Parts: sequence; C-alpha cells; structure tokens
Amino acid sequence: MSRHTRRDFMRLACCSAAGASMVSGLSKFGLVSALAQGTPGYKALVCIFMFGGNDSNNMVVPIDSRYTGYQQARPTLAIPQASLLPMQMGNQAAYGFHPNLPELQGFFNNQKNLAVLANVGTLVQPTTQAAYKKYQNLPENLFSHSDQQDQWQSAQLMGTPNAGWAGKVADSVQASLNSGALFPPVLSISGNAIFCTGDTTNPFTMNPGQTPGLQGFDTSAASQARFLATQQLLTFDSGLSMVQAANKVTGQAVQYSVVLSDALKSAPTLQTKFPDTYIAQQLQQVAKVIGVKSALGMGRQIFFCAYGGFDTHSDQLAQQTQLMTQLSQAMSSFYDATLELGVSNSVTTFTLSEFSRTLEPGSNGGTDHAWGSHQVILGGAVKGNSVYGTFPTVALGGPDDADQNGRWIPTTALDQYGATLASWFGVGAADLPSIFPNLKNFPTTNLGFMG
Amino acid sequence: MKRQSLALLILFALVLGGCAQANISSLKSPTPTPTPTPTPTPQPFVLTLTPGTSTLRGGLSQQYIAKTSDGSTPAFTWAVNGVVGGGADTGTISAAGLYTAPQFPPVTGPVTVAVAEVADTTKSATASLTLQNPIPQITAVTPAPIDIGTFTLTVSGTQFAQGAVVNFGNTALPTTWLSPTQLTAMGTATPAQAGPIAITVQNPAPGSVLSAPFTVQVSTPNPNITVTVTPATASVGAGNLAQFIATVTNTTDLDVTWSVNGVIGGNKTLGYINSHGIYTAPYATPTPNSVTITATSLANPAKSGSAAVTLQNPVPVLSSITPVQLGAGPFQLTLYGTGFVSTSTATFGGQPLSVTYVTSNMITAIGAVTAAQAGTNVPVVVTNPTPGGGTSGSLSEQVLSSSAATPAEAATRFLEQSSFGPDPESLNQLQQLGFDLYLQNQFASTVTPYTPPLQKATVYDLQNRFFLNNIAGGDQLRERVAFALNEMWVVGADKVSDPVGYTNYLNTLSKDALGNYFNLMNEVTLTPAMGHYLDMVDNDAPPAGQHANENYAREIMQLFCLGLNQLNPDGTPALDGTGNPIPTYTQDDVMALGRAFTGWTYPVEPGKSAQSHNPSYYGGPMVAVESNHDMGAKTFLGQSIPGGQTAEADLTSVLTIIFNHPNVGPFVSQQLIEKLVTSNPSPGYVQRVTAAFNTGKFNTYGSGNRGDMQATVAAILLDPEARRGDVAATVVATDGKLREPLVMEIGIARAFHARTDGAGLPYESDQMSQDVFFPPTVFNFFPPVNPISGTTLNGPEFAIFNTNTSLARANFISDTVYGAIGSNTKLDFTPVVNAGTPTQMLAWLGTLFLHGAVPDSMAQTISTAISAVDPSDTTGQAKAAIYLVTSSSMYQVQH
Repeated sequence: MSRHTRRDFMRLACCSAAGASMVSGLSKFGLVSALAQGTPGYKALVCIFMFGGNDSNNMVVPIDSRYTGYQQARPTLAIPQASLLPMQMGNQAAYGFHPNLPELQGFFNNQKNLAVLANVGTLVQPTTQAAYKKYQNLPENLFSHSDQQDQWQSAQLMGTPNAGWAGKVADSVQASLNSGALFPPVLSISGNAIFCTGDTTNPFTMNPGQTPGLQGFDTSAASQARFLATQQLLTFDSGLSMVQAANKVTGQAVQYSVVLSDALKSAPTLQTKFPDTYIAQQLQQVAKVIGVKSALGMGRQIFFCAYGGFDTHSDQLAQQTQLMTQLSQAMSSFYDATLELGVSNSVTTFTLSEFSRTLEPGSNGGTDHAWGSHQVILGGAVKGNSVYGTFPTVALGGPDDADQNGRWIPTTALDQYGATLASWFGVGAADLPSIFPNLKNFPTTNLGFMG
Repeated sequence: MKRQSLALLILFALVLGGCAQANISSLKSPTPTPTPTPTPTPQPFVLTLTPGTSTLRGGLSQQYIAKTSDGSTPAFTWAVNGVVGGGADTGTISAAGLYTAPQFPPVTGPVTVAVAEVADTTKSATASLTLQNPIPQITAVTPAPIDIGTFTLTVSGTQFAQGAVVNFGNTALPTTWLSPTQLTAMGTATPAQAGPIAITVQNPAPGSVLSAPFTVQVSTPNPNITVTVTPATASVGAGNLAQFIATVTNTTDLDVTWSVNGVIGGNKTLGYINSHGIYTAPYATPTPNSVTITATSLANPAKSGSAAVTLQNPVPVLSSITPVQLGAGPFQLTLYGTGFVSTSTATFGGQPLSVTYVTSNMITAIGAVTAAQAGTNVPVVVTNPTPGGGTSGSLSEQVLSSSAATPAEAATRFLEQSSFGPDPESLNQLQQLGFDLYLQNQFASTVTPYTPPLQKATVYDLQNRFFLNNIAGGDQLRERVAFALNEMWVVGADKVSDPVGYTNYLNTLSKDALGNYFNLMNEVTLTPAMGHYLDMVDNDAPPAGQHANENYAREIMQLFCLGLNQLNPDGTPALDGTGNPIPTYTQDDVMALGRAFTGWTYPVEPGKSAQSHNPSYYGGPMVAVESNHDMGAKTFLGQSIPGGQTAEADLTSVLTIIFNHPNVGPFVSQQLIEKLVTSNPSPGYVQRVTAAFNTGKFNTYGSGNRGDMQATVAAILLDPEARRGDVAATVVATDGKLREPLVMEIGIARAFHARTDGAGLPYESDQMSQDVFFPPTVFNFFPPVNPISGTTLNGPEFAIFNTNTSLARANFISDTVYGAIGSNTKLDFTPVVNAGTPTQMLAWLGTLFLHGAVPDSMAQTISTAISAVDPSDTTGQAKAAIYLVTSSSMYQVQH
C-alpha cells in the first residue's frame, strides 16, 4: 500500500464518479486517510518497554544442535524443543520463538517484517570477560533495575540522565521533519519515562482510553471565570522553583489536552480489535492517535508503551507465558491497525527491556538479573526474517558469560540499536553521537535491520 | 498478506477504471428499463439485463443474463458500481456475469450491476441489486448447560453481522459482536426456564434475519442445595461492620446473593451488605431494631439461609486518647477503644464534643478548652445511646496553662512536614504547645492499628482503611513516617493481596516507625508479606546447577538500607582516586547474601503440621527450616560469616553487617528528609540527621542507640533547614517538595473534617498515579532521585507528575468540591463559607493551605473568579475559592 503516493491517488480519484464511490469502499482499509490527509513522509517509532527484565533466553531459543546445551543449563526452566515455534529462514530454522509468540512467528516467517536483534545491551565499548572482571569501562550499576532502565532509555551509562534518547531524537528532527506539529512529538501511554524527555522536547502523557482534560467546568459565567483563573494562576512567577516546575507541566497539560481531545473527535473508528490487556490497550491508544496525525500536524511521532511483571525471580514459566501471549497478541493487533490506517510501512514497533536474566535457574523456579538480551522489531519498513547481531553461546561459564551464571556480555550495543532506528526516523549522522554517546566506540552505526 | 493482495486488487481496479473513463461513464449513464414497445422496423438495438431489480443475501451468487435484441452474442464487460469485475466490498462479478455478494452488505447501500458490449460500450444496461445480511448460523454455545442465574454466553457460528443480537428464548440479550464467527451476550436464566431453551441469532437490517434455533439446556435447580448463614444471630452497633458467612452445600456453585429484609444489598435504612457478606449497620437505628440477613443460592434461588440481627449498641470502652495534653482553644481528639458506634457521643468535662465516627475502634471529637480548664485534668467519656448502649469509663486530658503561641505560618508548615496536613484544631494546638511538646505527645501517642481484617475482606477494604487511619488517627507523625517506610520497604499488593499479610506488614511499619531501624529491618524481613513479595520465602539452599534467589538480597541493600554507591555522612557519594563513585557491593555480595537468606518458609497455620515449605499463611513471622538453609561459610561486604550457622544466626549476622554499614545513616536520613520536608536537602542537613541516626540522640530526643527513629525524625523536623521557610525573610526558592498525591488527598480531607468510609478515595489516588499499596514495582511509585526536567533540581514526586496526572490532581479537587468521592464521603466547607467576605475566605484558606496569606496576584485572580459567582451564593463563592487555592501549584507544592 505504501507504494501509493499522494499524487497517484489524486490522479486516480479525480477521474470519475466511480472513483468517488470506491473511496467509501477503500476507507475501511485506510488508503484514503493515509493519502488524502497529506503526510507522505510520516514516520512513527513505537517503543514497548518490558519492565522487570525479560528473560529473553526463553523468548528466542536455539533449536538446532545447540538446544541440548540450553536444556542442560536450565533443566527446570527449559522449554521443550518440540513446542518452540521454528523461525524459518530459507529452508533452515536455527531458532524458535517462545510457544506463546505465534503471531510474532507469523510475522517473522510469512510477512517477513519482524526482525530479532540478539544479545544487545548497555555497553560503553566492545567488552570482554577479562574487562568485565576488572570492572573496566562498564556501564554503572549493572543488574540494577532502575539504573539499567534509565540507561536503556537514555543511552547515558553513567549518572542520572536528564533526557532520553527518544526525546533527543525528537529534538533532532523537530525543525526539519515536524515543523507543522501542533502537539508534542513524544507521547507516553505509560506514565513518566526518561526515554520521552529531550533537551527541548517535553512529552505528553495519557492513559489508554482516557483523554486528559480539566473536568468540572460548564458554560456558566462563574464556571468560565474559574476556568480562566485556573489558567492564569499557572502563569504567575511565584519565585519558588518547584511551583514553577509544576506550573510548566500543568500549563502544557491544559494546552495540549484541548488540542488532542479536539483532534480525537474526528478520529476514524478502528475496526481492528485489540485484546483487553494493558499493553494492547496502550497500543490501541497509539493507533487512535496515529489516526489523527494529520489533524495534529505530525510528521514524526514517538510513542512509549510499557508493561511490567518480567522480574521473574520465582514461578517464571507460568508468569512469562502470560506476558509473551500479551506481547504477541498486542503487537499483532497493533500491526493490523497500522495496516487499517495505511501506515504499516511508516510505523516501526520495537521492544526494550532493562536486561535479560540468568541462564542458570535460581532456587525457586525463577531467574535473576543479567545483562545482554534479545529484542524484536516489527513493521513494514523492517528487513525482517532475520536474526541480527551475534547470538551468544548458550553455556554457563561459556565465552559470552560474564561469570558462571549465564549473564551474557552484550555483543551489540544499545547505542547501535537506537541509532539504527533513529537513522530510519530521519536523524542525520551528525546528530547521532550526541544522542548515543558511545556509538563512536563501535564499528557499525547501522545494524541494517531497517529498510 | 490477505489484506495486501486485496489492496492490490482494488488498486488494479482503480487503474483500470481510470484508463477506461469514458466507457465506465457510459455504463453509469441512466438507461431506462427496457419495455417492449411495438415499433416499426428498423427496431433500435436494446440490451436487456436480467434480473433488473433484485435482492441477494450476503455470500450468495446470482447469474445475470445480458440479452441483445438482435440476437447477437458479443463479448461483455461486467462491472459493479462502475468497477470492472466488482470488488471485495461491493461483490464480484465474473466474465460470465455470475455475481457473488460480499459476506456483509456495504454501508453505501444497493449496488449497480452494469454490462456493456466490449466492442461498443454505448451498448449497455444496468440493474439494481439490494444486498442483505446473510442468514446467521449457530454451531456452538457455551456454557452448556446454562445454570440458573446470570450468565455470559459465547455463541459461535458463521455469518454474524455487526449489530447481531442473541435471543435467549424470547428475550433479546445485550450482545457484543467479536467477529463474524463469535458473539457474547449476557443475561439471566430463571428457575422457570429450566429445561431446553432455544438460542437464536438475529442479524440486523438490511434483510434482518433469524438463525435456525440452537437448543441448550438450562440446568434444573439442584433441589439438594442448602444454604446456612453464620453467625445465625448477631448484635451489631450503629454503623458497625459484621461478617456473615454463607455455607452452600451439595453444589459446586457456591455463589449467593445477600439481602437485608429481602432487599438485595440492603439500603440506607436497613444497612448495607456487600458481596462478601460484610454488613454495615445503619447509622440511625431503625424501628424495630432487628433485620434479617439472607443469603440466597444463585444456583437455586429457592434455597437460602438467614441470620437474625439485632441492631443494638454495645457499651463503649475508652482505652486511650491522643493527644493527652492540650493547650487553650479548639482541639481535636482521637479516641481509641472498642464498641464505638456511629451514634456515639462524647463529653469533655461534661461539655459535649462534636464526634465523627470512624470505626468501632476509633472516633474523633472536636471541642474547645475553656479558660477555667487551664491547668486542670479534664475527664472524657464516650456514651452510646439506646437500644443497648451505655457510658465508657473516663480518661483524663491534661490541660496546660497557656504559653506564648507559635505563629500560624510556622505551625502550618510544621504540620505539613510532620502529619498528613493541618486542620484548624491541630493547627491551634500546635500553636499552643509548641514544637517540642507536640513532638513529645506524638512520640507517646497510641498506635493507630490496622485491626485484623474481617474474614472475607480484601486488600481493597484495607486501602479504604488506610485513608480512615490517616485522616483520623491521632498519631499523625508515626503514620506519616510509616507511610514513608511503606514506600521505601515496598510490598506491592498486586502480588501480596492477602489482607491479613498486608495488615501485619502495615502494623509492623507503624510499630517500628518511631522505634529503631534495626528492629524494622529484622521484623519487616521476616513478615511473610515481604518474604513472598521479594521471594525470600521458600528460598532454599540451591542444589547444584542453581543459585540462591537474589531478589531480596539485592533490594534490601539497594533500596532499603544502603544504596548503590558508598556515601559520605552528608549523603554525597564517596569517590575513588579518579573521581568515580564506589559501588557499595558487588554481584558476589548479592549472591552471598542470597545464600544467607535461605531456609525460611511461611509460619504454620494453626491446626496444621509444620512442613519444609508451609502453605501460604500470613498470621505471624516466617519460620526457619534449617535443612533448607545454606550452612556454608559466606563472605559478605568484606566480612566473614562462619559456616555451620543456623538460618536465624546467619540472618542476624547479615542484618547486623548491613545495619552497621556507614551508608545506612545518610541513606535513610536523605530519604526521610525527602519524604517529609524537602527534595533537595543540603549536605549539611543530611549530615546533621545522619549524626542523630548514628548516635541515636538529638537534643533531648532518642535512646542513644544507633538507628533511633525518634532522634532521627526530631532532627529532620527541627533542623534549621526545615524551619527556615517558616519566616518569609529566610525562604529559599529551591526548598520544598511536590506533595505526594496521597498526602495531598488526605490533607484536604483532614482540613475539611471529612466523614468517610474511605470508599472512592483509592480510585482518586490511582488517577494521580499513586494507587496506595499498589506501586508498579519494588521501586515505589517514584524514585528518590529524579531530576526535574528543565532544572537542576531533584524532585522525586515529579516522576509521577505529567500532563495526565497534573490534570488528575485538579480533577480530584473538582470531584471533592463540586462532585462526589465515593458514595459516603462528606467534607465540611462551612468554616470557609462562614469566614465572611471573599477576602476573609482567602485568608482562612491561605492560613491552612499556604501557611500564610495568599500572594497578592493570586488573590486578585481568585477574587475576580469569586466575583463571577452570584453574591448570594456564599457556598458557591467558598467552593470557587477552595478549588482555585488547592488546585494551584502553590498548594500542590509543599514549600
């Protein structure tokens, strides 16, 4: 569908009354909204953050001769070989997805628009076991949830970040590719996240299904006077830093909530059904907002969605099974919605998680905090059906293990992952080093999974 | 792939249409229906298309026949709505004129089928075709059989159109369309419907049509079911709660409907009963003072059981009062005991107090000390009215002689930092007593308890109770510190939903909040709530190929006691020779600590026998099972723990090592300062509090033992840096903190003397991203370090402040002032209304909410808004003023 250009559509649409009658037939599939609203260069990045540290050892598993090593290293947690979902590449299937990811398997095998990035993580520079044991140039506070979440979201591997890489990516393209935007370029459907804040970008935040707005006002003179006063109170300089900081956020909230709720009034009704899970509801909200991108004047948008429960220190098999089902179904529905909206080639969805988990099981049915992890990237612009990066040797104390418990030293850096997405999004090469400060330490700045 | 190929097909049709524009136009041109007319030769050529006008159901096919008047058989082009070959939405037509309808009619209405000669497109004809919904077919219905009572049916089949309705017998059910092959519908089966019943699906217009019936069985009510309610008789005081249990036998469907005197759920006059059998007696005792509680089986509504309830008040027992010392003027007391009812009254030296009922164990009472009572002990008693009732024993309040009053500005600020917020009476009393006497009273105060949950209560009931305790509890300082600890030593009710477990954990926090930090560490570690939350429970010595669970080991160091990096006593990071922070512990320390924490399981439930892994039970501390403990030697934080120690001995060893680590003082001090006073304490402030923590002594406060919380808290509250904002001349612009939503919410409830059952308050806090007891992770609702965007300041609470929650705060205020919180919360705005003029209203609000006068520009803006309210509507004026003051950032930020 993306091969249409706006000009093509105009030519086709003007030829006859028959054209008009077809418009109604087509609108269901989004061609009209995609083309007639005139954002030919629209692109969106949609982040799904898996809070708690997803055990990607059980998300993507080698099913070839390496399976035995995997099985022996975690006998109590290994997924039976036969139930893993083969990832067909040509006539080979070296890896299998978690059994509860059938939709992702379909994207990988059939639509070929889903890629896997293996063993990616926070890295200052290419790192060896020896360097790890000497604490040489490592990211700060490995294995700490909060620090690793911040690092994955900011690409800043020391100290407390003031901005995130999505926010900085939005900063970078705001003037060139988003000049008509009437709304903040980054939207979080999952609360505050440093990922969303740039040096100049301030994100908008909403809950799924709830358009924010000031409530309790009507058209009476008294009510209108109170509404006006509410807004005026946000503009006074109290001289108190925290009060000013709160006023700034609330002021933006009042302003942009009106813009968004007005735009959403004209939102097309999505036919795509989403499951009733938190992550799916968030992605449905993203789809709704993408549906009004023209009304909001957006050329570029970044969305942040997230769900938790991945910190599976105990009872992992049952817990992760549910989480994988939720991921697979939510991503599938969202992809369908982008098809419906005619933006499937303009929207790229990708996962992040602060770390993977130990290959070695812990003492009560779970695993503990580790490091390098596998992530998935989905979208019409993704060069899918491929495993990018280097899959680790799945062995306790093996060449990729930081120590003896199966905590993989990443072989691909978060910076490379983010820079590949940012480049597709439109960030120029000159801006990448300031967004991804350690990118310069790696030979490849583009991993090639984006078309 | 399916959608892509479909789109390509449409594209192809578009292009074809574009190239053949003229032809298509002629196909579209109106052609009169051919009628045979006797005309002389040469006869004009006529192309006839049959059927001319027709209807067709979704998915079916119809053959069109084009007949030339001259008998020729040329090649034809077929189109639907101008598109050659038709399309997915409008139906397709083959080169031989076989039309196939789409499964469901297009929203655009009837379609036009057109035919034209390929060689001469002026020779054409059209036909109108009305498409109708297909006939739905049911293939399966679940559940089957359907039990008596409410049900949700899933109906599977084919050709379900959007808007299809499921019929249950003759009753149309509210139906949700999921897909063309699946519907769900909700309804109720009555006992009279027992036996076979026909389920049908009706597709809507166009061509509304019913499926063939699909027969399912409605279960015959089981005649052997019995329902018994215990206790069979009960006496309940006004407004009190009582638990009733329904025992249902001879069925697997144990659900019952609860009613009071036949009214399902009860009502205000008879009292309410919820789905868990928890009965709330009416606040005003009805006549006669007896009701019948009935539980009715859902599986067989003919079967029920009952309990006879006498609405009769007990004799109240007054066990303690907080505070025990009073100064002149208005005061509020929290009275603790048993047998309090919603109609309880209380007197102070014989003078009636204004009483607010909270629970059967706690009421609050407002009054004023008279001049004559200064320097005397004044008796307080509680009386319950008839039926039943009586008067409690008397307890004495010590009224002090008046001394110089603390300024209101300073007193308000002190209460913002040391309580859930001032009300007019607590403000007056702090002014009368001064900081030190106030603190001494607080340190000596009765612990507001979380009483054991009723048998069927949930953690949501406990959430409501959190609000009751913190709105009405007299030990405000302890509760505020306990809440800070609840956010530091996090246990999430998403995982620990057992209300007994969570109650015991909360009571542990309250007990130790003003005790010693080591006791807190030890006792919280051993609560099964924490054990379950962070997986220390049933963490056994690891067999080969496994390692000990690291969860609790890591977080007790990172989040509860030490932090990630070594600290100076002033809270700044200690740096190595190259200026880098020094990690507090290594991964090896985490693994050693995980091993030390092995061997603990749930306590033994009374009546059960001990096992190596006891089943979940929260009625006491965890117990050690030595055979599951890793007895090996350990090296932890540079210290050796010998092999062969018991689980208890190892626990004491490692907790002692942690407790004596130099990080604990600055780590705990910094976090408590942030929770109570300011987000950006200076290193000097942290260092002074650290000294109090380390020495266990601050001025006259504290035991002298390391970790003394009274010394620590007093040092926090009495520090010059906490107090400098009391006087305008010494205000520092970067001081203060964004109020936590829960503190703000409770603060407003307290200021306006809320009467509430707590219901609805958790919902409001959830909207503001602080659903009490349900933080998203062990990292709390917000972290201790969170840079405020666009500033160099730290602002932990800003991590849950965004475009969504900032408006949610204002909307909470709106609900409070103009709407409703739950169904049983009332705030009293009359003090503002009665303050007088709008200027006087603002003065009242400024004192309580802004610790001083409302700043001029703000006051002018608010006055303008007030002047738009009808001057005779003084309540409306007061509400506008309350909304604008409390929703403003000047109040949302505690400064």
